[in-house]
Amino acid sequence: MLTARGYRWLSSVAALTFVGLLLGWEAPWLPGLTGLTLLLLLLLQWWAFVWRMEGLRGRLRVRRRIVQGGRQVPTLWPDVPLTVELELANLGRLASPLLWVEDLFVPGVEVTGKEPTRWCVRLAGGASVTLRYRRRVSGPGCIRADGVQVLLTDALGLFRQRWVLRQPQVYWVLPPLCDQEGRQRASKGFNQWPPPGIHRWRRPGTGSELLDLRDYQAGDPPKMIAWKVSARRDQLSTKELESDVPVRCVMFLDGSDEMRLGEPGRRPLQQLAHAAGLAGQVAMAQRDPVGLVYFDASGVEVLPPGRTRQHLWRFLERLAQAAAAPAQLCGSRQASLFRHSWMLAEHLYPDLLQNTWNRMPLARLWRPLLDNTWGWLVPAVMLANLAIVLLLPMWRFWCLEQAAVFTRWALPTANGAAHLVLFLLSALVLLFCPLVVAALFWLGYGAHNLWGRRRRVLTRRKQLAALLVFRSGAGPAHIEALLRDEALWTAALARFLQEHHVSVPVQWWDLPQRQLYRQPEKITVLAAALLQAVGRARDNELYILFTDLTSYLTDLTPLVAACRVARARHHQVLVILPALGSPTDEKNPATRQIADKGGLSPEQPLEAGEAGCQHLTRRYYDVAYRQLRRQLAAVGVSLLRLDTEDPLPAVRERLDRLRGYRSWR
Amino acid sequence: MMVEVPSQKNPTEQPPRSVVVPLDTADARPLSLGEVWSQLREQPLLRLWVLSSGAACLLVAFYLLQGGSELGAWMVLLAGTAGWLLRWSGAAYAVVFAFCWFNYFPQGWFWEMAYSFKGRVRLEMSGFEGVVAVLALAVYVQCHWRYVATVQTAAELPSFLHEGQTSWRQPATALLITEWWRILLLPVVALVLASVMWFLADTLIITAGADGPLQLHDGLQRPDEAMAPWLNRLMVVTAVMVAAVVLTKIGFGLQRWRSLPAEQAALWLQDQAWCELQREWRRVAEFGHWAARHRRSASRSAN
Repeated sequence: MLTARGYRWLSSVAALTFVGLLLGWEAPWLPGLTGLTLLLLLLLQWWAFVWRMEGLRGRLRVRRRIVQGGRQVPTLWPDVPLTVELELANLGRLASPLLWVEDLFVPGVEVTGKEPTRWCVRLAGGASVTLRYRRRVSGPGCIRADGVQVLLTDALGLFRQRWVLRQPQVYWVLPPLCDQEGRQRASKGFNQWPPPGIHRWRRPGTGSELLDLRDYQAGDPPKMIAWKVSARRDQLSTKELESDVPVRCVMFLDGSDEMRLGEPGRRPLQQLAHAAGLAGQVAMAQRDPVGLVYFDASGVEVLPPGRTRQHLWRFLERLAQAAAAPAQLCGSRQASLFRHSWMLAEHLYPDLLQNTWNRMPLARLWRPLLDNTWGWLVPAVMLANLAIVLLLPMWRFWCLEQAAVFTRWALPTANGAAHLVLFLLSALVLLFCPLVVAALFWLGYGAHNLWGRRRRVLTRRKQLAALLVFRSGAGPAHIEALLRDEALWTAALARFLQEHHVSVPVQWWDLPQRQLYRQPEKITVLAAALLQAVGRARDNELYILFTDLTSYLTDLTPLVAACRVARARHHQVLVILPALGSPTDEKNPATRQIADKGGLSPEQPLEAGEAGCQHLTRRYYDVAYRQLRRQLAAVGVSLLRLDTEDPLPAVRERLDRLRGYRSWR
Repeated sequence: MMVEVPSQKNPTEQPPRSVVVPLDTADARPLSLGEVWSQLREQPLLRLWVLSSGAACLLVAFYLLQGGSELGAWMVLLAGTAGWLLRWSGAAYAVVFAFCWFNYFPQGWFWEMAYSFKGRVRLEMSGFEGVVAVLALAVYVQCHWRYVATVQTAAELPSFLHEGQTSWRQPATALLITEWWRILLLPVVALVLASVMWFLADTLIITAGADGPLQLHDGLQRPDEAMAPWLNRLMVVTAVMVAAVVLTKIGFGLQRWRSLPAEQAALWLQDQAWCELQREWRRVAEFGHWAARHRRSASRSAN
């Protein structure tokens, strides 16, 4: 509770009081009285601060609303300004001290904007204020707001207390709406009802386009008779119309951890979700059913094709949910996970980590020796020592004799008492030396965790485990499991970080780190999902694979086979790759120099290492892209990159091709 | 940035019920000297703090000057001015230290102690003037730190909050006039309490082994078995201070447990259940051993 200034002042005043009290009336008494006055002044200030703080505890309420487009919304659109409204109310009767208030968005959420989110607030009893600020969110996914942190300080800066008024809220950020041409939605709504006849299928049906003419057969409706042709041929002919069948579009979105790496807003998965949202809306605008297959290495989740407005919202929400979570920390050491989790917990849950209600009992820090198999040697040594002393009189006699010899040698001229003390001590040491050493070893072994860094680590681990179990509601026995099972503990920490949207700091050019997240199994899963979709297909369909395959060139066999099957059934397949990250600083001379030279030179300075890695990664990616395009083009699959090509024209072109170029555009 | 403050019927007469000052990094950083001057021009309450601390500092300096310690008076004035101009929080330490040092050693040198050179360089002041000087010193400390908290730093921020920003100051626009009265009142109360404690520390005698260990000193003669005066004073003051702190902790601790939030109460219950779990597992293990022993003996007797 005391700040650094408070600690310094307390120690200075206490020292002054101590000196004053020592000297008392025998010296000038004013310094003593001064020290005592200042000490009592500090005590009074502490009382006043604690009084006002306790009066405010539990009586400070916060309510958050997010307004976008002039109304309160449960979901958000990217790149549209939003206003966050925080209503802070003091429900107590006492006036609050000065409060330092800040809205807490979990680290890792990209919220762009320049307006401050911190205020200095003083609230009278029963008063409330509304704090507003504007922000802009980029990219689909979600933003998570955990609450408001409040720093209470006294007027002089001697005391401080930090609270977090938790009010966790998650807002989904949906991919942006667009019209049938892929343009961003304007304030005026677009007519999404397409003209008839664009869903052509070369089979007789009830569409509006002419397919063929045939001879009249008895029972044909008269309105289907082609009168002019019949008059020309002098024979009754009947018109056959095309069938009007929509083209189904199924999107396969890669949700593996590899796609979730990087900073929020720039993750590959967010780019792909954004593109999938636009492509899906383009298809739905022409009344084509759109489905979503979300897959990773562990399996798939399928959203069946549909084209209603409700289906559009389900589709966009599923995309936002898929793009929301960051990758789980993979390959990190447990100590690193623990450190990150502890910092996050201290940031968001400071009150739940206090010793008052989340403590580590001292007895639990004692390290039991007898849990080890070899640990029984220690009591065995002690018992053996006792047994020898009790059962072997010769040993006792020898020890006493040696003690007497040592005493005579050490104190040849001393008196009787000193002789006696030294004799007894040396006899005890000789008789019970193994027992004492074993007991000391037992004590040292058991007390190893009672102080220092080990104690801090164990206490923090228990407190964090209790917090994780409290959040999950798994029960107190699960604390014990987390304390003993390292794999369970690591998984719980990684999940805790992921739930709080802590992004994995792996840069796009850090190929060795990205290799840790490589999952070749997802190719098999994707191929199986594609074959399943082909098996369920009724007519010609469009399959769009939103995934990054550049690091799986040697594992593509099942996917190529699946694509071949799809093309054999006259379906269209399109693969869309995410954009590669942009260079850190395009104006960096080192980057420019490397780019100009086309590679790293031996005399390149070390500072350019990052730029060199970026350049090498980009070159590797280009080479892999060309090889991948060659492999897929062999089976008739097109490949697109989001950073070089706009996918929407390609999607529209494929849809039109499937309709026989009968689009109304 | 939009801030909505509750409307007031007559804001000129009553202090506002709520004060909200938006803070960005520029507002939270320490002010430069030019900004301090402009704040002093714009904010009358900040001027009030500076004037109060200056007056208190002058009073302390006059006291030392009147007592014959010119060097002490100049040092107090120098430290006070430096604290004002440089926004130096250490000025409070310097003024207090100078005041105490020049009380013990009016000429500044430690071999010229006031109490060992009677009549030569002793501060010839009455008790009341000394008490006023102590009061002025406490007021100076309060006002100076309030000034520093407004223009320099009020509190350090936790390190993980914001990169590059380590401290926070309370903006001058959040100052209230009621705060000034409270900060002036507290030193008076503290001085009264300190005088009572000083009196108690000198008159209350702890006698080891006596029938009643606490006796009031009549001012004539101390009992032979009484503790040394310095130890007596130290024990009395320490006992009173520790009792005050412990009672405060107990009182506020009880209040805190009474109004425990649901989350913390649930966590405490979970913690208790976890502690009981250990004992329960031990009981179950002991029961298992006992049952095994009983089964073995039963089978042995059956055979």
